[in-house]
Amino acid sequence: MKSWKIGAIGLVLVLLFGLFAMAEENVTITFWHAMSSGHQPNLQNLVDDFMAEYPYITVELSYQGGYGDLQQKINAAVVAGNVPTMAQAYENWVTPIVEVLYPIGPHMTGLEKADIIDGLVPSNTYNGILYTVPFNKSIMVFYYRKDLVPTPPATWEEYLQMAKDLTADTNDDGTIDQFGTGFRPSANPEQFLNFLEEAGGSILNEDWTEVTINNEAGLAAMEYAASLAPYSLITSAYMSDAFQANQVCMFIDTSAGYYYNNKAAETAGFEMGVARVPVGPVNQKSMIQGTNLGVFDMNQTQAQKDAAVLLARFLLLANKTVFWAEKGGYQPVTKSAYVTEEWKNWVATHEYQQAISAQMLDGFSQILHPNYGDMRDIIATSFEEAMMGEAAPKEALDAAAGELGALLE
Amino acid sequence: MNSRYLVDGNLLRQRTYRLVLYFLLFAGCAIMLLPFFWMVTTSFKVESEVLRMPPRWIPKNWQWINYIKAWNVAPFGRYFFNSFFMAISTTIGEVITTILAAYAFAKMRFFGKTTIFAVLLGTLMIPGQMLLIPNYVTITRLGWFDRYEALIVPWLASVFGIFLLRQFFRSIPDELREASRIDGCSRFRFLWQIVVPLSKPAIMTVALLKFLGSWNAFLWVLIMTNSDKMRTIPVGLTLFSSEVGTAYEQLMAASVLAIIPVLILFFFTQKQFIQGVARTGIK
Amino acid sequence: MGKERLVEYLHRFSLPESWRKVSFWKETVAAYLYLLPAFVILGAFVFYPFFSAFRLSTFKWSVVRPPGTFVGWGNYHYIFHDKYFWRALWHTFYYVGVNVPVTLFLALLVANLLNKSLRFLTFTRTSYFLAYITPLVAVSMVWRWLYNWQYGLLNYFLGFFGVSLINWLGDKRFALPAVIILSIWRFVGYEAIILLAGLQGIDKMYYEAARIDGASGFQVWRKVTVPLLTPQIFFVFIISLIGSFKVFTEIYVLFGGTSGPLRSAETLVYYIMRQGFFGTNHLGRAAAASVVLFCIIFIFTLFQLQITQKRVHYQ
Repeated sequence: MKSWKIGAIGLVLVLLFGLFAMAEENVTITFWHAMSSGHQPNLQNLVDDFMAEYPYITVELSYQGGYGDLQQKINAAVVAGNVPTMAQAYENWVTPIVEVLYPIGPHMTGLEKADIIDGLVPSNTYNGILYTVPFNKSIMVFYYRKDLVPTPPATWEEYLQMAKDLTADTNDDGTIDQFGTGFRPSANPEQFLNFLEEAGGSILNEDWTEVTINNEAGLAAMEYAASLAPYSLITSAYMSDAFQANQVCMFIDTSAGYYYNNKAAETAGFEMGVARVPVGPVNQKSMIQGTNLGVFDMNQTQAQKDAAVLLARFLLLANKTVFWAEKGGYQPVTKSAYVTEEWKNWVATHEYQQAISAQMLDGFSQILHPNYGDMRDIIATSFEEAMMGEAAPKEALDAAAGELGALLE
Repeated sequence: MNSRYLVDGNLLRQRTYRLVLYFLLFAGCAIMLLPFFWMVTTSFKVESEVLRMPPRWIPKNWQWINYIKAWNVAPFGRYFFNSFFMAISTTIGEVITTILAAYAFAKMRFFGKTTIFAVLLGTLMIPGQMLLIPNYVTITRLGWFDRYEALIVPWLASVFGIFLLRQFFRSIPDELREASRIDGCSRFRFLWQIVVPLSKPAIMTVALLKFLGSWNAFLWVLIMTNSDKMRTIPVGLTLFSSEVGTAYEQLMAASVLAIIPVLILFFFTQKQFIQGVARTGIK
Repeated sequence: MGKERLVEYLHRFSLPESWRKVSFWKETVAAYLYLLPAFVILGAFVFYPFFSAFRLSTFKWSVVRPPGTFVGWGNYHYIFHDKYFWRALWHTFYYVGVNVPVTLFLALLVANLLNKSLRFLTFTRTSYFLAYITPLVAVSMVWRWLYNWQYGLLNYFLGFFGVSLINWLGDKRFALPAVIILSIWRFVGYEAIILLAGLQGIDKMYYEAARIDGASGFQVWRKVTVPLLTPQIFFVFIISLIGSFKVFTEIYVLFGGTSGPLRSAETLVYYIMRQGFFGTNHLGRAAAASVVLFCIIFIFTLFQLQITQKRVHYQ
């Protein structure tokens, strides 16, 4: 054969090979998570489905302990430049490392972005760009025992009245052993943030230049909480423990705790109900919490980043977020998920889901202030002081406002 | 005690004294054992029995299956292997480096001894977590991330061990060294052939505590590794807890399994303790 | 004239005798070789990060651009003006002041008991040691029940003495005592084991001599055992001191991730953790507080070293 022919064939082969390689360049991405033993198989399931659909992508899941551990790991990794392709992360963890993240939003369709539950968009948006997307979310709901609370309270007033009526000394030994309700101020300041939102208040004003937590609305919220205090068990332990020991009859807690709270009720021998949080003076809203997904951009190849974005968008698909919610006790994060047959069926067959589901579509999430971690601490302390009678509501709020002001820089 | 040693009138007092001692000792034991007892019985309980208030101590039915469930939650076989490998390697390594260093501080005179020792002690005074990030960077730069080197090498020495052994070595009479020197024994030989055998309880203690420390090391292992094949038991144990609750009965089962090797080691080292040491070298 | 002055001057700053001998320096070289293996490891993984913590305390930490912006004394200024820092300091001193002596005293008693030729020795020794090695999860579960306001065993027993129900974990006056009791329980066995090793190492000939002299049990204890045990007592004391200043995990597990009601059980290390590692990222402040902690412990230890210098007997 003439040499030029050989050369030509060779060139064609190389070109073909190159095209092939470009089209299906194998890429491996790493995904750090804090999902414990119960959730891991579900996550693996989702990832397997993804890999089936995109065979050239390999996803390596890596468990990194509990949330606290994951946070430390991520921080250490950022310092050393040893980050994964993507990871679960709370808003507070993301704020300091936004600049090493690869924003997901710009690589999503307008429809996808609009599909995310409204209340979750602000807490994933940094500098006007959607950097992260919600992943495993839960919302605060109202748990109650059906035997002592036949109908759950619909309003703040009813809540207070019922708590009062249910607080008693059931064994006549001089101390109250059954409280109407319970709070965990130091561990769960979100219980207060719910009240704050429902009273029309907020921690800061729109552009974060002023502290508004101690205005009229804020005061109303704190005074209401304090009014519940005499009829509440104040603790740092899980509410499910107190629930099971007949120490509380109803309480506000995250929907993610459903399984444990229900178990506690079963053990104690009564039926548990789940309702929407009582309506406040201004609205009926509840706080959504949970982690988001972020993609890193420190030394990742473009192919890896693209693959990670694909996975994030994949997980946002209606049937995927529904699957994740059903299996893990979470809530779907997109609006379209709530109108799928699957989810509607699920809610219909699981009575307790009705209240939770109904709240999600107008739930709210935390603000993304860079010092939110400290703010949350300050609020927790002031909440605790008010609930334990260490300070009057106004005092506690004003003190908090003072400290918060220092954080506004 | 030799009864010839007791004055008559004291006999009754001594006996009641002993009885009181026994009582206190056993009362102490009961309190000490409570959580361990709880751990074991809970590992056999059904989920609903675990968090009862008031608590139920003995499970109605013994759920051996908890152990199987727990074992399957993670590759515990691999975790056990890694834990052993890490613990044994670090223990052996540490014993060697510690014996050498402790001897230097205890028996040798050298420039800067007190200062260096003070600095050594000083490092104990900073909470471990402050050291984590710089160490993470070091490990990454060395290329040891997610490898055995990261789990073992940094733990081959310990200030605590050096301090502990130094205290013991200092009690060894200098005359022994003198005597051996006359016989032409080098310092090195003296250390390994005379001092070490005499210090068995101390060395056993150092080894035991080191093994325990490595065995229970959690945060370091978590931070320095990513893959399952490198991880150890404590990391596996966190799998049973989530933000909202814990699968206690399985966690206890796994914890019981995790404790067994340490207990066995303890029994073994205790034998060394009980044999005791009679130092008649001087005579 | 000048030369005499110089010699006099030199005499004032005379070097230690030992420094003039060649053998001293030869031994120094040998000693450094003995120290080498340990110090290579410690140097890289303990000393280096240790000093970097000092450095870190002068920066406002930034994760993405470590170590961040230089603020000099800024972090120290912050913590010294933080009321929670001072509270944490107070809590720590209170904790140390009670925990160290009580645990040591009890450990001495226990070690002595465990050293006698009593029966069931293996069982009892193991029990005391088990308290230390039982995983904290199990320990915290049991103790949270023991401390329970209504159903707890502790309140139950106290009831016999007419003490009304104490809310150990929910009342800010009792939170820290609750931690102290838990710590004592946990570390008595651990310290006892170390003291026991020391007891085992006491040459029997001292007991023989005492016996020949007709000393009573108590006298043997006072005049022979305790003095000969001082190296280990000293060790346990220092380690207990240092460890107590750093108490953290017990608080974390006892109070479900918080530092007690109204932060009443918050010690300095908890404060440090809070600053640097729980949802907030003020590593510089955490480092500053760590440096302060270091200084405090260092001074205490120096103090101890001075006092016990004369009282520690080596055979």
